[in-house]
Formats: sequence, structure tokens, C-alpha cells
Amino acid sequence: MAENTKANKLELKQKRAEARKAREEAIAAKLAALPKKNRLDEVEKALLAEQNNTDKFPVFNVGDTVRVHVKIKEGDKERIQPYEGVVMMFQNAGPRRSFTVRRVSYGVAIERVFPFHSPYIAKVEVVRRGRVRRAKLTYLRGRFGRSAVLEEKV
Amino acid sequence: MKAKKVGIIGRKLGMTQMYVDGQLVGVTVVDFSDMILIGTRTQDRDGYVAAILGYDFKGVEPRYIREVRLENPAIYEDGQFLQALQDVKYVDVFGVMKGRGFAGVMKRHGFHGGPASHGAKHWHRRPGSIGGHTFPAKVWKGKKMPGHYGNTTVAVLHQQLVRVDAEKRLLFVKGAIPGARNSYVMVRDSVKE
Repeated sequence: MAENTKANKLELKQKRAEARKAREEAIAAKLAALPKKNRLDEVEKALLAEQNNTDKFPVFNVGDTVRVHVKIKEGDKERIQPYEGVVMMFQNAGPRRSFTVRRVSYGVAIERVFPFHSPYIAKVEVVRRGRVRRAKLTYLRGRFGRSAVLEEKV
Repeated sequence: MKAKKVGIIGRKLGMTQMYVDGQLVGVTVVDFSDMILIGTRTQDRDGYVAAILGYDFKGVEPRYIREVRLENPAIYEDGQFLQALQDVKYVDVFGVMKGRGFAGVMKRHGFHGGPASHGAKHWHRRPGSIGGHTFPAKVWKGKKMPGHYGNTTVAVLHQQLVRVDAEKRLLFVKGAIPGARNSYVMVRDSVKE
């Protein structure tokens, strides 16, 4: 054990400071090699890049009548089933974007929500363009026949 | 935290969706971008073996430090733990659940409360009787009552690890994990695997 003198104390202090500096430098070196901090919006952007249907579909809007070709798996077989109806709304949420299509079949209205970037949508065809003044066509609910037909866009 | 093969400390970024084998699943994203080994515990010096990990650095000071007890802490030195993560299929996640303050018995213990109508007067979310009169003539210890709920460490066991992004240092865990967004969490390979 070293003597408890002023000089010894000073030396000890210096040693500790050096050791601390070395430790901090080691941490700094490790940190420099690491990727930058992630943010959720960036993660979602990367996910969107993996599975993106934006270029695959024609531009269609709320009020348009579209035919959505849905891939359906039955066992190992895959077939395509078209689904035609009016686009009621878009829910925009980056890669989680979806759209709702309303169709009346046998007197029963069906609203089907499709994930926009789903790999199960083979293609989307625009059948008719409608003129609307709303972003969400919830007023179509409960309407059948002529009252549910939208004016065509010229 | 004790881990069989590998443990991670990080931050819950939040939830999103992704396609896994053609199916759209909800996932929680955990970031461990600047997690590094800042020390070890050894059998000789401390009586047990563990890795001391630091995360979320401000300068050289980590804001979050946790020990992970596992056989070989050296895997954190040269990226071997990333390799180990690739083999992990299921994980356990530890986090501090959201605090709920002073909660009633319906929220805290899942009691059913009283009827909403049929003449119920001020008797909708109450606990009901808490014990007998002549016997036991007291309230049993441990009786479920209102009180502070939440803000405790909670584990979720055996969640599927959907993807490991070793380059960006991200984990994609299927389903929900405890805690608010941006809260710290610990992840390890599942004990049930």
C-alpha cells in the first residue's frame, strides 16, 4: 500500500483519469461503428419499399368504380376473383394504406377493405370515374339503386 | 435478465404491419442501434457471469444500462450476437407497462361490476361484498381491491420473432409488447423454445 501522501494521491488521481479516458475512448470507438438511431417512420418507409403497389395500379380515386382482381389461394391452387364496386374511401397510413370498395350484390351491400400494398391484389381496373365532393363517401351507406349512382366525371 | 443464448436491450419504437409468408401481421419494432457491451461480471470477481449492456448513448454515457446473465458475454464484442439472433425464432420481452394510476376493480382485476340499468343506483363499477359477517368477520388478506395499477415490469413470453435486421439493428416481434412507445425493453430468446 502506497503512503497516503499528497504526491501519491495526485498520482492515483491521474491514473484514474487516464483509465477513465481510455474507457470513454473505447466506448466512443464502438459507438462510431454503429448504425444511426432508427425512427419508426423510416422503418415504415423501408417496409413500403419492399412491397409497393403504387406503380402497379392506375390512378383511381374516391367515387370511381373499380374492378379489383384478388388472388385467392385454395390449397396449392391460385385463382383470381374480380370484385367490382365503388371506392368509398382511402385510409392513408404509409405502408398500411387501405381502400374500401362498396358493392351491392343480390340486394346486400358489401364493403370490403383492401390493403393497398397487398401482394394479393393482381390488378385494379378503373371501370367508371365518378364526380364526388367528399373524401369519404359514407353517405352511400343505406342507399341502393339509382340514389347510389354517382355522376360521371367528364 | 437471464438469457439462454442472447439478450438485447433496446427501445420499443411502435407498431406497424408487414407481410410474413404472404400474411399481413401486426409487429412491434424494437430498436437496438447503439447497444454495446460496457462491462462484464466474472465468476471470480462478482460470483456470477453477466454482460453489462448500455443503450441510448448521450455522448459516452448510456441512459439505459442492464445486465444480461448468459454463459458467454464475449459474443457482444464482435457482432457474434447478431449471428445468434438469426437463429432465434421466439423471444420473451420485458418492459414497464403503462401506468394506470389508482384503478378500480373492473380495470385492475377484471371484475364484472354491476348492472347498467334495472334500477341499479350508483352500483355500476363497485366490487361487491368483500367478505362474510359472522365468519370470518374480517377481510381476508390479499382480497382484490382497488389500488395502484400498472407501471410495473411485465414480461411477454414466447412472441414470434418475425425478422432481425442486423444492418439497421432492428427486431420485428409479432404482436404487442409491454410499455409505451419509446420506452426501454429487454428481449431474450424464449425460455419456452
